[in-house]
Order: sequence, then C-alpha cells, then structure tokens
Amino acid sequence: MDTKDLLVWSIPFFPMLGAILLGVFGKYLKNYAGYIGSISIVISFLFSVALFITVASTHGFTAILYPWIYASTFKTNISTYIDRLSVIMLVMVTGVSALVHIYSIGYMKGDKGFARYFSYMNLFVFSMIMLVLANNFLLLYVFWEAVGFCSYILIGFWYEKKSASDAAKKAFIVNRVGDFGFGLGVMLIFVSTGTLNYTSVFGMMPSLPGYLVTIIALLLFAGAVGKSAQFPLHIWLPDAMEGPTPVSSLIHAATMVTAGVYLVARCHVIFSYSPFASHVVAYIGGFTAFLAAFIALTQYDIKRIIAYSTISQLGYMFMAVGIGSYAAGIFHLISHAVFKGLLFLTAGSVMHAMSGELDLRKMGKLYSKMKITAVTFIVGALALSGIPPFSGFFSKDAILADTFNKGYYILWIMGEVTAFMTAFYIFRIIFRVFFGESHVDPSVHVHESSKVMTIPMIILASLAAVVGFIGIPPFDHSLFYLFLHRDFQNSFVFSPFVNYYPWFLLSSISVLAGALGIYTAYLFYIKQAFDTEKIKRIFKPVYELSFNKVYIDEIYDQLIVTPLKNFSVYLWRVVDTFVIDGAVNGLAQGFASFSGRVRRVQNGMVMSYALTLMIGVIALLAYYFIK
Amino acid sequence: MLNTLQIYNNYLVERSLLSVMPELVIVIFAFIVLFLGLFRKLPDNDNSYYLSLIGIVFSILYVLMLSNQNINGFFGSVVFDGMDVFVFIAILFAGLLTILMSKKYIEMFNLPLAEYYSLILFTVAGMMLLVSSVNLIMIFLSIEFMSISAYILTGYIKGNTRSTEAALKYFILGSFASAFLIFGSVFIYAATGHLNIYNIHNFLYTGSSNSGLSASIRDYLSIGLILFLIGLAFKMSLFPFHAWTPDSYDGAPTTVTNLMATGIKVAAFAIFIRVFSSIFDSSVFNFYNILWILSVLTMTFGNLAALLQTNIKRLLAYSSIAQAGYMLIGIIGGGHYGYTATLFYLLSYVFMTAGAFAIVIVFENLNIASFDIKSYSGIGYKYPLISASMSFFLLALAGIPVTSGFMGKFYVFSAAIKSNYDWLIFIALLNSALAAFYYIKIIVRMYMISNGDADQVELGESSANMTAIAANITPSLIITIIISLIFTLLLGIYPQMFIHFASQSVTSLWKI
Repeated sequence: MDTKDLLVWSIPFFPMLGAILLGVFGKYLKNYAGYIGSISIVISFLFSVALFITVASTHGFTAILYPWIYASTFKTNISTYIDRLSVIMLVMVTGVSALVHIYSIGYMKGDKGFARYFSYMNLFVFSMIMLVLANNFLLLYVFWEAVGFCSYILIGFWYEKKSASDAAKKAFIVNRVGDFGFGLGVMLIFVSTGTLNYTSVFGMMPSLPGYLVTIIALLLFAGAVGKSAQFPLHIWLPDAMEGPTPVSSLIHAATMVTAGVYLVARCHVIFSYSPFASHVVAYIGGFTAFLAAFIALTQYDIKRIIAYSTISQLGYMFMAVGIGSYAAGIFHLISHAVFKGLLFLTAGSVMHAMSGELDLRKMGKLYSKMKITAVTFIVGALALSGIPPFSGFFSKDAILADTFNKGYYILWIMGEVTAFMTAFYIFRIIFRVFFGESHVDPSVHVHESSKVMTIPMIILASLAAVVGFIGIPPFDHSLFYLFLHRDFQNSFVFSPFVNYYPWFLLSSISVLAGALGIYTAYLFYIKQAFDTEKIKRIFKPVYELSFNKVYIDEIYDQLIVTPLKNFSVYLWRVVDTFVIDGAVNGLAQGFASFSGRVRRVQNGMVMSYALTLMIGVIALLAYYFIK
Repeated sequence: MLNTLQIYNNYLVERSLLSVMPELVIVIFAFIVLFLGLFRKLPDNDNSYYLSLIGIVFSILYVLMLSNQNINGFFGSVVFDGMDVFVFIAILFAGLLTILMSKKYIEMFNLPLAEYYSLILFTVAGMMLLVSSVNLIMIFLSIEFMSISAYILTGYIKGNTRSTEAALKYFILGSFASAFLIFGSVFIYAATGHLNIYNIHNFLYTGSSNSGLSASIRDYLSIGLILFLIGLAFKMSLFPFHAWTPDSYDGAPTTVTNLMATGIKVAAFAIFIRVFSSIFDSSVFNFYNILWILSVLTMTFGNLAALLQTNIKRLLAYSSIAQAGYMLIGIIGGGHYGYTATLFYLLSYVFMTAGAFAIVIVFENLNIASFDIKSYSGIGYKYPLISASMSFFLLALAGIPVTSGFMGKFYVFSAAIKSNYDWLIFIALLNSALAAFYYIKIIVRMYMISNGDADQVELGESSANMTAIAANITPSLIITIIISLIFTLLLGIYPQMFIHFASQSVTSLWKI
C-alpha cells in the first residue's frame, strides 16, 4: 500500500470512524457530536481534494485494500477505481456533505437524537464515498443498498411521527422494486461475463450479443430509476421530505439520488453499446423532467416543490447520459448538487424561522426579515432557472444544446418547456415567500438563522454563482468537458452530431424560456395581472391534474397496493394461519411435546437415548448391507 | 524458523516431544495449576486462572513458532502439520475464551478452582492431541483423554442434580460411542493390517488398487468405517447420535457448555476431516450418501427442535446440532475447497458461539435472567451494548451478511454447489430460513417485548444496580465478548486472510 492508496482509503475511513464513534459513544459526547461529525467529513473532503489534484495532474489508478471473496471462479476485491469521474464525484460528495454537516449543527441543535443524527449522516457519507469508489459491481451493489438504508433511517429519523415512518417505508419499498432489477442485472453480468470487475466487464461488452447488453443495461437502469426517483418510481422522493431538511439537501438532492446518473455514466460502455437502452434512458429522463416540473407548478409545500424540481433536474441528467453526452450529464450533476443543496438549505432556514411552516399560502414579505436567506435563495433559483452567468445556465444548456445538435428534437422541446416551467415554479416560491403581501401568522417570530447555518448557505451560493465557469467556453470545448472527456473515450458513439449550431443561438432560446418563466411568475404573483382563481377555473382539468400529481399515487394504490393488500390479507388469513403456521407450529409442537414426554421419564431417558443411537447404528449398517 | 530443528532430526525422542510441544505445554501448566492448588486457600486466589491463561498463550506461541514444520513423532502416531496449526489455533481460542469467561462464574458456585482450570487445560490438550493423531489407537486414546475431563467438568457443580445427571448421561452414552469407535478400528485393522491412517491410505490406493480389494476386505473395511464414523458422529453430535447434546449442554456449567460446543466440536470435525480425507474411499463404499443423509437429518432436526425451545442453553444446543449439519456440507462438497470451507466455518463458529455463551453468562451472573428466553424481554434497553452484541452473535449464527456466519455458510454452500449437490443446498437454505426464525425471536424479545416488570426497570437505573453490574461483568468477560465480536466481524468482512490460512492447512493433509 503506497501513499496514493493510503490517500484513497483515508477518504472513507474518517466518516466510518465518525459513524462508529458517534454511534457507540454518542450519548456521552453531547454537543460535541456535531463537531466530531463535521470534522470527520471536512478531513475527508481535504483528502478528496488532494486526490483530485493527484489524479488531475497524473492519471487514474486502482487501489486494492484486500481480497474480499475468492470462491473458485468468483473473485472480488475490496478495491477502488480512481479516475477523473470518481474524483470529481468525490470532491462534490464530500464538499457538499461537509457544508451540510456544518449547517446541521445549527439546524438540529437541541434535537434529542443529535448524536444519532450525525452518526447516521457519517455512515451515509461513508457509504456514498464507497459507492463512488467501488471498482466492481458487487461492492457497488453493497453500498448501493447501504445508501438506500441510510436514506431510510434518515427519512424516518423522527420515527415517532407517523408520516415520517410511512415515508421511510415508502422510500424503502419503492427502491426495492428498482434494486431488484439492479440485483438481477449484476447477476446477469456475472453469468454472461464471469467477472464483476468494471474494467473486465466493460472490456467484454463489444463481444457480447446485442440483446444481452440491452437487457443488462435496462436492468441496471431499473436500479437507477428507483434510486434517482425517475418515472414511474419517482413517488417516494416528495414524501421523503418528511426527514430533516439537511437530509433532504444532502441525500435527496445532492448525492444519493444522483447515484443513478453516476451509475449510467460509470457504465457508459454498457449503455453506449445498446442504443435502445440509451434511448429508453433519455426518453424516460425527458418525460420525467417534464412531468415533475408540471406537478411542481401547483404545489404549496416549499420542500415538495423543490423535491419535484430535483426529480425534474435528474430527468435532464438522464436525458444527457441517454444521448451519449456523459460529460454534460455529470456537469449538470455537479452544478445541480451545488444549487439544489443550497435551495434545500435555504428552505430549511425559512422553515426554521417559521417554526416548521412550509405552506406557501402562509408566507410572504420575508425578505426584509431574513436577507441572507432570501438572497442566497434567489441565487439558487437563478441558477436553477438557467440565467447566465449562474451555474445552471452552463450545465443545462450544455445538455439542451446536445439534444438539439444530436437531433433529438422532441427531447429538446420538452427540455425547453421544462425550463420555462422550472423558472416559473421556483420564482413562484420566491415571490410568494419573500415578497408580496405577508400572510405570516402574527404569533410566529420570524428571524434570520444563526451563523453556523448561514455561512454554509453563503458558501454554496457563491459556488452556485461561479461554479458554472468551469463550463467556459460553452459546450464541447469547455474546461470541464476536456477534463472529463478522456474517461468516456472508450464508449461507442451511437449518436453523432447532426447539426452544428453555435452555442449562443441555442442558449439564447433557453435563457428566453427561463426569463419568460420568471416574468410570468412576476405577472402572477407581484403584479397580480391575472385573477389566479379564474385561470384555475378555466384550466380546471389541467390544474387538477398537476395539483394531484397526475394521480400517480392513486393509480398505484388502485393497481398495486390494494390488490396486493387484499392478496396479503388472503395469504395471512388463509395460507399463513392454516398452512404455514399449522405446519410450523404442528411440527415444532410435535417435537416439543415429544421431547417433553421423553424428559418426564427420568429413568428411561438414557435408555431411550441409547436406543436412538442403536437405531442409528443399525440403520447405517443396514444401508450398507442392503446396497 | 527454528534452526535447532535440524540438529534434532536424528533424535527420535526429541523430535517426538517437539511434535506434541503445544499439547505438552498445556499439560505441564495443567499440572502446575493442580499442584499449586494444594497449597493455597482456594476461593480467593486467581493464580490458577492466570496460570491457565499463560499456558494457553504459551501454547499459541509454540504453535506459531512451529507453524512451518511438518513433524512426525512417536513412531508416526502423532503428527504436527499445517492442519494442526489452523485447528490448534481454533481450539486454543476456544479454550482461551472459555477460561476468560469462567472467572466470576465459577467463583459463584464456590467450587475448587484449581481442579476446574486444570481440567479445562486437560480437555484442551486432549482435543489438540486428537487432532494431531494419525493412528487409530492414538485417536481412541486422545478421544478418551479429552472426554474423561469433559465428563468431570460437565458434572462439576457438585450437589446440582442437573449437572450430575448431565455428566452421567454424557458418560454413559460417550462410553457407548467409544465402544463403537474402537470396534470400528478393530474392523479396519482386520481389513488392512494397519493402524496408521497413512499406511491404510497407501494400502488402499497403491497396494491393491490394480487388482481391486477382495469382497471380504471391502465388507470388513466398510463396517469398520461405518462404526468409526458413528464414534466420531457422537462427538460431532450428528443426528441420531446427538441425543446427549441438549441435556448435557443444559446441565453443564455454561462455561463448560461453551467448551463442549466449540472446542470438542472443532476437534471432532478436524479429526474427521483428517481420517475421511485419507481413508474414506468411494471405491470401497459411497460414504457421501451417508453423510448427505446425516447432514440433512442433523440440520433439520436441530432447527425444528430449536424452533419452540424456550431455554436459551437448550436452544443453543440444538442450534449447535444444526450448525454441525452445515459444517458437514463442506465435507460432503469435498476436495481442497470443501475442507477449507469447513475449517473456516469451524473457526467462525468458535467465535460466534463463544460470544453468545459469554452473554448468557453475563445475564446469569447478573441474576437478571434465567435460562428462560422469556426473561430476556426488554433487556435491550437496559443493557444496550450487551444486547447489541448478543444480537450480532445471533445474526452471525443465523448467517446474516457482514458477519462471519454468512461467509462460513457461503463457502460451505458454494463448495457443495461446486460438487453438484444442488438438493442438499436447497434443503440447507430452507433450514437457514427456519433457523433465522428462532435466532431473531430472541432479538425481538430483547428489543420489542417489554418485560412489564416495574421493579426491574427501576433497578436498571438505580446506582446499586450499577455497582452490581460492575461487580459481575468482569473485565475478563468483556474481553471475551470483544474478542468474539472482533473476530466475528473480521471473518465476515475480511475472510480472505483466514481462507488462505485454512487452505494452506488443508494442503498439508495430502503431504503424506
């Protein structure tokens, strides 16, 4: 193990140490738990930056910690795959995590599960780091499940609240659907290639039959759909907002939900050799982006709007990786992590100030009372809307320009419409929360949050403002593209460029869409140029559709949950009670009563034991002689 | 490693002594403990405890020092080879953990300590001698050496009828089994004319393999092997030779139960592998079928019987019967890989079982729980760390990932899959599911069912109880639990090192 390996392994080590320390001794650490939890992540971040510099200046490598399972032909190591993609993800994951942890010290102050919270968060960061670092599908699968588990316990962090524990269960069960596919995909990879190591698997992709590659890709994508909350498995993410807001910020916006995009980018060789699967990815992404933005238009809960926005933005990323623009997808992933993490933190700050209130209708005119929160929120919103020079402009437009230039016009139109809706719904929040008339309950004392919360917000806001410049000059010549492009060179080019329109032409259209969205929101909520109630009445079906989240939860209820429940009740009442319980209890009771009867005969016992022994001897000898 | 070895090469006595050095150290320390016991007033001294620990540690050092050697001793009746190294380490750890957990527990019964510790050491020495025996007579003698000490230990709680009864049953049935073992050896000797298993091996494979064995030799040999198998199956507690297990485990002092469940089982399996790999020959008789049936019966019986068991010690006894069934799967899988898997399983089994028994002893010392599982209700909130460890050991026994139990099962099952025993694995998996029920039942009890006893809740927080805890959970018990936890986790997440170790040991089996 040389210095480089040591550097790699110290990145997951500190969060793991933090998780164990806080988990075991949390009770005694009191308020220091927050500092220990944050420091472990900050150290991990510093190491990640060091690793980033190492890899950026030299080249990637594989670090093997130890051989894990060697069972005849099945060989797996605990080892990592370090390339530019993974170091970029590492810096993002640990960086955002560090800021969210520091913010949490203020946000979770006084909660009785303070140490428990930081222990879970450190455990999550550890799992996420390992997920990014893994160099084989088994390790990936283990930590894929581990981040899912951490998400489950953090959504249900306030488990006394029924809605929280229900949301946790929903997230877990919905993810199970996707992970089942993912698990099958991993097995199929092993069956068809005989290995689980990334490099060997990718090397074999060109020689595998096309249908097999497609099936593998689609099964892996099933896992990504579940984890990254894409249609039709997106229903868990809005409910997951029951968890503490920093959790939503870190897990359900910046890191875990982007694991699906990372998976597709990481397995770009598999996906690029199956254009069909790639197109499925792209169109599901495009449709999800549109659908989620449409639902977000009419919701009233700030966190849910931002959650739908996350789903929608993840759709953009899938669109990008689905059309083979992997670097663009990862670019949006990074910039989205920054500005969406920021939006959640500011939403948390608002929620903190309003004593837990999240309803848009009960807010307004908060700008004067919490200037830092308002300004940082607006920066995040501008980035989300794709207004230059904020980061979202560079990353989103890189995706939209690629869809157009590669000839996916339908996706492009969907993307532009989504951009319009995005700007509208996010500025709807701004205008209704920070400006306009105040609908705040007079008993609530609105106040700006403490420094420990605002400083991470300010840092993230500055990043959201400037991080886009790594995308200059726009698109395929940008710093970011040139940096990352090398990792994607061995993929199969299934969608070449068909148009070569210059960037300023294409991005001016989407900036226009964004600006139009903001202006429309301004007309609605500041100028009040239209009677919103009247418009609601005119477009009633559309409004109802959006407001009721396209009835997807209800459809699932009717189609899956209710029949399944009825079936389970049947199983429980009939099969379980009579067949299984009967068999199990009958057998075990039979044995118990048998041994009980034997036990009662005190003198005969040794004799009966000797008898069993003799029966055994005779049976074995008889077996020989009868043969 | 030991350069002086070359000098001894021509000296039979010295070499012979070297070949049993780890056992000898234990025996010497056992005598010292016994001797010192004569001089001191017994109940309030720790000498014997510390001396036996030192003895075990010395023995481990000897094993490590000799670990690269391959020594024949006593005219080829005892051998020290790689197989011994691995199994000795497992047995010595079983002994070490047993001694560590004995400290407070045995003092509670107000029994002579020196005899107790020396008997433990004698049992351990017997187990080690058994593993290194390669001569049928030597195997018989060491089994008796090991068992007689174990019989006494089982009945060590004088005046306790359960303990005495357990010892008597164990003794009577054990004599039965020994009779079969020696009877089997006679048949084998009659068939082959050899007592040394390597000579028997040569006789079977080289001497007459061209012409084939005559029918009468085959009959004699098969009967001999079957009877021999029965003798060992008793120690391995395979169904239907298990009958003594629950009663003896239940009646014996819990520390001795632990030694029987871990050490004796490891030794019996190890010698079974040694004998089986060299003289059980499928050209004579297909023993795999018999083992297949025994394995299925053993695990099914063990799990079904444990299902509704309410006494924790009996439950662990039945669970150990079921575990023996899983271990047998590795042997059925056979070959280098299968034996490696079984050895790995044995090592992991030592730590998870010792951990579980240590916690039973903790609760026994505290007098907060009887052996009845019902008394474990709601303990999870009063003793969070201990209960968490207990849950971890139970999950390991159930074979949940991250623990050594999962890796052990994974390896033995994959060995059998490799040899195409699909149905066996199917049944074994069903059994694992069944077994998970009763292990997790205890966890559920600890965490989800409240005791409803107001006094106990109050007791849990009072300072008087804290001192009681401090007095009864001795550092040695905590060390036991920590060692078991570390190894259970380590074997689960870093199995490769141990697999490598086991695989090297198995290689030595064929270095004849």
